[in-house]
Amino acid sequence: MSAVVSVRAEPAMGTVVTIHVVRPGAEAAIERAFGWFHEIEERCTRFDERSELMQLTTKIGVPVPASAILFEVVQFALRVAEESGGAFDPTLGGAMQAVGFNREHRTGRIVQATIAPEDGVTFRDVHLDQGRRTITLSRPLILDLGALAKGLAVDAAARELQPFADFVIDAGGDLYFGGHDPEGDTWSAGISHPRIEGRLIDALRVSDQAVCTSGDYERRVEGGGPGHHIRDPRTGASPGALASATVVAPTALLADALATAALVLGPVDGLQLLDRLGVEGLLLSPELERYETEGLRRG
Amino acid sequence: MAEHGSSRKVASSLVALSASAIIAVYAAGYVRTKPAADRLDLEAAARKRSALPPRVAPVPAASTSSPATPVATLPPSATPAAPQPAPATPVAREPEPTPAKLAAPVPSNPESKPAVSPSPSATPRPSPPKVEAPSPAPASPREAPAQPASAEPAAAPPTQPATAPLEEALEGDAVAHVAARAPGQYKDGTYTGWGSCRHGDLQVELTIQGGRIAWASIAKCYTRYPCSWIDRLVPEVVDNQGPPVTFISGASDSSDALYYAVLEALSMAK
Repeated sequence: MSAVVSVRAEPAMGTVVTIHVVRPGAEAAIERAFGWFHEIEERCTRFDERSELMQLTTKIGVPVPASAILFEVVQFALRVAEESGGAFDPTLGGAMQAVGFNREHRTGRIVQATIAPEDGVTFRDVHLDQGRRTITLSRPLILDLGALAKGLAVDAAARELQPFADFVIDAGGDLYFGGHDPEGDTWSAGISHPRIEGRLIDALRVSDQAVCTSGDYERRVEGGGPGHHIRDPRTGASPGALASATVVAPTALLADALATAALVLGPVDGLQLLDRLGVEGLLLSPELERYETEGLRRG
Repeated sequence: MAEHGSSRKVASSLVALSASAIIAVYAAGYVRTKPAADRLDLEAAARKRSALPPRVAPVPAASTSSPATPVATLPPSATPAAPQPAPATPVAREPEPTPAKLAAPVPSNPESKPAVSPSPSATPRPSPPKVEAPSPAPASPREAPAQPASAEPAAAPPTQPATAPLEEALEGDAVAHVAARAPGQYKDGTYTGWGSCRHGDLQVELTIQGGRIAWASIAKCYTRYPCSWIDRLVPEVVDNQGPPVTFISGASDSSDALYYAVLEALSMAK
C-alpha cells in the first residue's frame, strides 16, 4: 500500500471519506469526487431542514419536482423496498426520529422535522412520475435515504476516478474498490468483527466492486438503550437474527441497500434475497455463525 | 445456488437500475460541473508546470502551512514498497497486541508537553482537555493547520461539485491532503498529531529516523473506549510508512482518529 500515490480524507455524510488513488495526476478527479459527497449529502440529508429532502417532506399530496439526485435515490429505494418485501423501507425516517435518531452525530446537532409523520406509513405512500421527475408523498412522512445517499456518492465518486483505474473509496466502511492494489493484486476488504471492536473477522478479495456492511453494532440508541439504527420497517423493532450483513455488489448503492435489507431479513431470507438478486454476501449471526453466498470467494 | 439461476433476470434489472441511477446522476451533475472541472484541470496543469523550478524559500519543517505537494511527482511503482503486512488472507485478524508494546520509550517530544502515560488501556478519561468537543471537522486541540472551510460537513457551501478552488484543498492540510511519500522523505525527529472521531480524541507520536517512520505510538487517548483496540493498527503505521490503510467494511469510524493523527504528525515531518 506504500505505493498509493494520493490519499485524501474529508468528513462528509456523517463519517470520514477517504480516497486512495494508485496512479499520479488524480488531484482534480479526487476534488470532483469529494464534490459528489457534499452535493449528494446536501440534497439528501434529513439532518438539515433546508435540504431538498426535508423540503420535500413539507409538501404532502402534491407532486414536487426533484433533482436528478433525489429522484434517482428515491426511485431506487422504492424498487429495493419492493424487491425486499418491505424489509428495506426508506419511509422509516419518522420512526427513527421518534426513537432518538435525530442527531447528526459528528456535529451533535439535533434536527427535528416540523412535520409529524403518521404511523404506519410505508414506501407505498411515495409516488413517482418518471416523465415529469416529480415525487409525491401521499401522507406525512420522512424519508431516510442516509445509507443509499452515501452509496450513490461512493458510486459517483468512483465514476470520477475511473480514468485512474486503481483506487479505493472508503466512506466510513462503505467501500468501493477500483481495479487493483499497487502490487497488482485484487484489493483486500476486511470485514469488521461484529462483537469485538477493531478486530476483523474475515477478508475478501475484490476488484471493481463495492463492499458494504450493516451491523447491529453501529450507532446505538442515545443513552445506551436497546436498539440500533437499523429497524425492521414491518415491526418497528431492531432485528436480532443477524449481527452483521456484508454485501459485495457492482455498485455501493446496491450493496448498501441490500446489506440493510439482509440484516433485517435474517440469515435464511437474507441469503435468499442476495442470491436471487445476483450479488454476493456474508451474513453473521450473533453467535458468529456464517452464512455466505456461493460465489463470495470466487473473486 | 444454481437453482436460482432462473431469477437472475430480477438481479440484473436491479443491478442495472442502480447503474442507470448513477449514470443519470453523474450525467446531470457533470453537465453542470464540467466548466468547473475543466478549470480545475487547467489549474492543476499550470501548477505542475510552475512547480518544476525549485522554490527559493522552502517551507520550514515545522510550518503548518504545509507545502501541499502535488502528488504527481511520485511514480507509483518507483517507491520501494515497505514490507506490507498484507491483510489479505481470509482469516480473522490477530488479537490486539499487548499494550506494553506501546509503552516502549520514545524520544522526548519537542513540543513541551510530556506525553501522559502512553499506556492505552489506562487512558479513558471522563473529561479530556478538549477544546472543541463536538467539532464537525477532525478538530485538533493544537493550533495546528488551519481547518479548511470546505471540509466542514454541515457547512459545505451549497455549490455544485468541483467548484472549490483546488488550492484551497491542497493547502488546507489539517484534513489531510497527503501525498504518500517515498520512504526516506520525512525529516528526522519526533512529531505528534491529534485525531478525532465521535468516540473522542487521541494523539499519536511518530518518530522519524533516517527519513522513515521508525516508531509510532498512541501518546494520549481520550476516547470513550479503551484505546487498546487501536493498538493493532499502530504497527501498520510503521509498516506502511503512513496512516493505516487496511480497508475495513463496517463501522470503522473510530480508526479515523488514528488516521488523522498520523496525517497531522506527518505533515509536520515534511
